[in-house]
Amino acid sequence: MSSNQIIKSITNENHHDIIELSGEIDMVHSVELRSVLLETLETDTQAILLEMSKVSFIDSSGLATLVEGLQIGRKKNILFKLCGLQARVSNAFEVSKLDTLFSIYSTKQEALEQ
Amino acid sequence: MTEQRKIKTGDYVEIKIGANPEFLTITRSVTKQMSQMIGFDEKNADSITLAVEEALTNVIRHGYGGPCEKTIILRINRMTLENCGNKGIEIEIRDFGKQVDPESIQGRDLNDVRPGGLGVHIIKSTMDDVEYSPMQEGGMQLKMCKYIVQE
Repeated sequence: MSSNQIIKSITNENHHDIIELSGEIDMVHSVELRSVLLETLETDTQAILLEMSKVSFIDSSGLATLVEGLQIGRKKNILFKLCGLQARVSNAFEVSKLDTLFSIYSTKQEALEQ
Repeated sequence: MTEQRKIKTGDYVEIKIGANPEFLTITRSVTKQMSQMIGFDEKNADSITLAVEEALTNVIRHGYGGPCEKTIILRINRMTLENCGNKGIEIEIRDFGKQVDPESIQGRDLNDVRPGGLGVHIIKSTMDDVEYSPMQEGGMQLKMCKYIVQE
């Protein structure tokens, strides 16, 4: 339910801060995501990778949070990547025409190698 | 689509919720299941669910100015089009919040990349008909329909 945290772990691998997400990123949970993203973007990270294979839903609140993260990342020269999108989540990116804006990879491994 | 007479079959689900975003997980589940029962495939059922989510969050955020104890009524009707017999879904969302001019409810230009303002675009690009109406008794009603295109 909505009280669950959506941030499952934050690890570092191959110069990427990997934020593993889980659950539904809606109006409630995007607040938590935004806070963690802004905090990570304040560090000296080179790249942020959002691992989203366990995210089952995202709405415009979540998408807007990702757009904000991407824009801050671009200003600071921090790579901003997404991977493992489920079909339902991928559909939300397509409907919003954001699928071409982000660097989206099928797997974590693929994202780390690019 | 809009010229054809829509016939509601009498099958519907109606949910009354408080304007609390935590309840949206319930409306998502009901909307997706009802869309699939009507005959939409998974991708379209997901898109309809997303449109309903955006409409409800807009009511909470803009109609009511944030989460509160006021009511939102979500009604999902199964329907058919009179001439061609195509099946479809009609969704009615009634709130009792701030009234706005329907003409002022516009999605933003997607080339203008910025956070926010995506909700109305998602609704209008996903659904076949979208109509916002201020109600005489106060508040707004959103009616939106989507039809199953026969191959």
